[in-house]
Amino acid sequence: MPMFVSMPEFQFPVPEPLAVPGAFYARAMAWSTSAAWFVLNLQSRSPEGAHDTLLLAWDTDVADVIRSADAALESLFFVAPQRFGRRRGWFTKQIVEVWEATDPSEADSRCILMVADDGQEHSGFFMERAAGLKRTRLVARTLPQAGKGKLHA
Amino acid sequence: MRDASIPMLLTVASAKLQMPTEFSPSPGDFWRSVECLGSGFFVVLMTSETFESEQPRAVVMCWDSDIVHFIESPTMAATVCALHHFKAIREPAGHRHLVREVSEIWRGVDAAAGDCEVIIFKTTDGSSFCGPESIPVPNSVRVDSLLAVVQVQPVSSGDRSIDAQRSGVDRQ
Repeated sequence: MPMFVSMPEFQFPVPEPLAVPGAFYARAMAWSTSAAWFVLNLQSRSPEGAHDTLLLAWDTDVADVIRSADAALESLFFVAPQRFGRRRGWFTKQIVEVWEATDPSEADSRCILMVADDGQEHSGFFMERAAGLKRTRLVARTLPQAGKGKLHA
Repeated sequence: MRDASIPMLLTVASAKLQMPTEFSPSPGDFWRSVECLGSGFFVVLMTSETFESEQPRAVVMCWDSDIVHFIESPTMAATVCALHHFKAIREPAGHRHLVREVSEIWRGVDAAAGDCEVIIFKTTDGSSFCGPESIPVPNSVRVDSLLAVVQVQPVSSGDRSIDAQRSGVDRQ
């Protein structure tokens, strides 16, 4: 199951009066599987316009957080493993739209469909290219970014 | 403590997953979401003989010194297979997010800061930065020694990791 794993040796000692009750503060956290995970940036609609960066393990949580937060979708990336012939690599892609969708090849089961900045559709455990999914409802589009949100290779 | 300038990861109780003991051999806890405090963080894919398997493990790290510790610690002696830095740049004119792929890690000394040690990251596009906030390398920094070269990991036989599709922003 895709999850972030906290390591006790990397706990950051935050004094209790300053800490969020029940929270765990860390300098580092491991990732449990080879599945894709997500980096979500939100901009609050409050007058302060606070920004939040969240790392999320599940695509359904990405959609739930966007729907429930009083915030605009600033940017979204997925991070996934990748193979280049006989070598193992790493893969980051920027998402511009998040959709609820159904998969006709799986008895119309519900899923999350993400549209990347190059127009490709991605879905599933590894965020592989999706084909044949039926979009049912738009969850969110990202805000236009200054400097086109350029990724540096 | 959410408005901290210290780079940290924060998890709250509602994001914790309760796992049966037999599925959680390590002493850590499991979480479905993590909040990043600070504007940047590293994602490191690495191997180490102390890991349970030969497969690379992904670790989200806030501090550059922790990456160095994983590499140089005699116990871990980790080999970095991929290293990305994520940074949010927020300006009055708008915002943008950078993902940089690191190819080499160097150690240097900053003469303007009492010869304190600096970790320098060279990226695949030829630029360099230092620190978790990825600031440009100051002119006062003298680059001393190569700490590590990012080594893309050969795939072992029987490995079932995916052949993902390449695009203009893929990383190796």
